[in-house]
Amino acid sequence: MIQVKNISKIYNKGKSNAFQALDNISFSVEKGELVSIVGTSGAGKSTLLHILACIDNYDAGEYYIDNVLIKNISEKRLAEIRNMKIGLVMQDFALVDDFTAIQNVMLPLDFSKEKRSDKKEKAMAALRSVGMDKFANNLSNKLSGGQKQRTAIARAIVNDPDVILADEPTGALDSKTASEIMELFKMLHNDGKTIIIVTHDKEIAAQCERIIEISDGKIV
Amino acid sequence: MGAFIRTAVNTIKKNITMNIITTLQISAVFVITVIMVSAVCVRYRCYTPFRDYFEGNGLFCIFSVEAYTGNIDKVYDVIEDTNELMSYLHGPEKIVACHHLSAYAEVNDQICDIQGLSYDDEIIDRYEPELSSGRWISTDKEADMIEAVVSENDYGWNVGDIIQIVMLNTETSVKRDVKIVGILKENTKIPGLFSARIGTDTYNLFYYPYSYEYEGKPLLLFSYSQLAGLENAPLQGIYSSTLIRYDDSVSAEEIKQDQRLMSTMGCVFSTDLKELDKNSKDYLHRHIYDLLPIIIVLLILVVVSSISSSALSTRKRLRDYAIYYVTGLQWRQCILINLLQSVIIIISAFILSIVCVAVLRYTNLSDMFYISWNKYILFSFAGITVFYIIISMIMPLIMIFNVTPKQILTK
Ligand SMILES: Nc1ncnc2c1ncn2[C@@H]1O[C@H](COP(=O)(O)OP(=O)(O)OP(=O)(O)O)[C@@H](O)[C@H]1O
Ligand SMILES: [Mg+2]
Repeated sequence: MIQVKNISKIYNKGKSNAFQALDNISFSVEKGELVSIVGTSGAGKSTLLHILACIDNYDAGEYYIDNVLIKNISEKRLAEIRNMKIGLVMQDFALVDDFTAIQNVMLPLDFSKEKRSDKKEKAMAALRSVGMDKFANNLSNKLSGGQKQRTAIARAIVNDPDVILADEPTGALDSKTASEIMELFKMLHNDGKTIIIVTHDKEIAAQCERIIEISDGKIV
Repeated sequence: MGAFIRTAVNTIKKNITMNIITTLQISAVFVITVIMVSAVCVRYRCYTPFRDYFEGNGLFCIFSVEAYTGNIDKVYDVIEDTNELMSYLHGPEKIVACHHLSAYAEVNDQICDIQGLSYDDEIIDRYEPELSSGRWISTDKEADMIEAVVSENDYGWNVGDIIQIVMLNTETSVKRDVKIVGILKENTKIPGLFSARIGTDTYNLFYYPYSYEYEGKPLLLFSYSQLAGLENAPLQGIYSSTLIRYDDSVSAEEIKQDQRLMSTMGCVFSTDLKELDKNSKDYLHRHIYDLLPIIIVLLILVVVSSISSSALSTRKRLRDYAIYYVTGLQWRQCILINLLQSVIIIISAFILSIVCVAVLRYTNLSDMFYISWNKYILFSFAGITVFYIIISMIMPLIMIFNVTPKQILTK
């Protein structure tokens, strides 16, 4: 499903403050796996996840998603890949504040190439699967942290992507809510979804099938 | 598109005061533009038909019939037609003139006073006064009946009616059937007749706003050539507005001589067209001179308020745009949301200004502003719209292309 081959990333390349954030990283994730990426602060976890999410580029190596090489492809095609193949969950939820939960979940459907008339139903189904259907019409800035993250997860799965990428999804939540969100990921995993979770929380990582640890931009 | 519209509307709502101010400013620009452009166009409507005369080398003259004889009933000594007038002068190229018709109407065997005026074909072809019904007189020589356009009247004369007009010449008077083909709007400007000169002389001297209520007798307009072609043709002396064009080789001195000569032949006023044309152009554009500064000030306000409010709202929205990017939008497409906001504002301003213009038109205020829709108004609207959209897009374009969505998300 996901193949990373010898990827390197250098920030501010060619300048005096150049910084190698990723150094020759290689790994792959199979369909249906629940993988965590762990490491200390500054290890390069987020950098790696952003590359996987196609919102950042890399300087060397190759990244394949569903056997498509993500390198030198058009902005248009990249947007389609983000839309159809990737669901991204962020630490700060990344919801549009003045949209309702369902309006947030509908975003990937709004931006999708395929025009469909059942956007509402589809968004509602996604909300139901994360237990948020009752709050569909609540403004997202009126939701609790856990509800926000559930909404963000509903948005990440609404287009049935190849992979769900999460960057510290529990980082802004109390431990009880955090474990609820983890349960949700595990449930999605049981449904056959491919999930990669970035975390520095050992407890969270332990609940995943496999742990990839990076330190100073290298896999250890 | 759904998310775009929602975001655009939400963004406008969040900054509603600023956006309402901008909308009001733009609609004020629209309304003033309508007033300005229609005033200029209305004025040009009377200027353009005879523009080549006004701009050429020549004279504008007013002839009076009373001046020939001191007695309107003794209708002789008049200059019959433009060819005759030409023969007296230093070889003018062309003359167009209005003619006086000595005539009265017979209604139920009663004699009714009328004002009769006939036009050279060139006047009929070039200028058509506003009619409340019917059509303008034709220069078609095949017309089977004498045609006339009349002013409003108390005789119940209407389009299609055939009325009896007695027309005089030096020997006889002949009663003729005249078919009414059109009715003039009250106060519409017709070529010919004349009133006291007020202010500077402009092309307006060529016209007279005819009001039946004020004049007390109906005006009948004919084709000079149609009446001249009749057996026992009525007398149609050159009367009131006359335009004379000379070849450029005719000297100012020769023209002066002609002016002196004509003043002994019933010409009560004549002026060089160069002076008249200069005054005319000032008059034509006076509304532009008066209103343009207001429009410019308003546009500056629009620039300031729309640049600042678009910068403000884009800054607030950048994180949302980054979310759209993550969920499948191209970064540069986010600019469409700003475009949509500008479009919503300009459409609201447009609707508001249409309402204002409609109110101006259907209330007493419409006397102050004569409003007539024409293509130049649409051109100006298009220009203002494009201008506003460009102005309102400057800041969003700069801000969006200066950051990457990743920078925003990881801030
Ligand atoms: N835009 C950037 N320019 C320069 N250096 C950067 C940039 N983004 C990240 N870095 C550096 O790259 C390294 C890796 O950063 P990254 O955000 O991937 O770490 P992380 O593992 O996610 O850490 P954390 O657990 O704190 O989120 C850090 O040292 C960071 O300072
Ligand atoms: Mg990080």
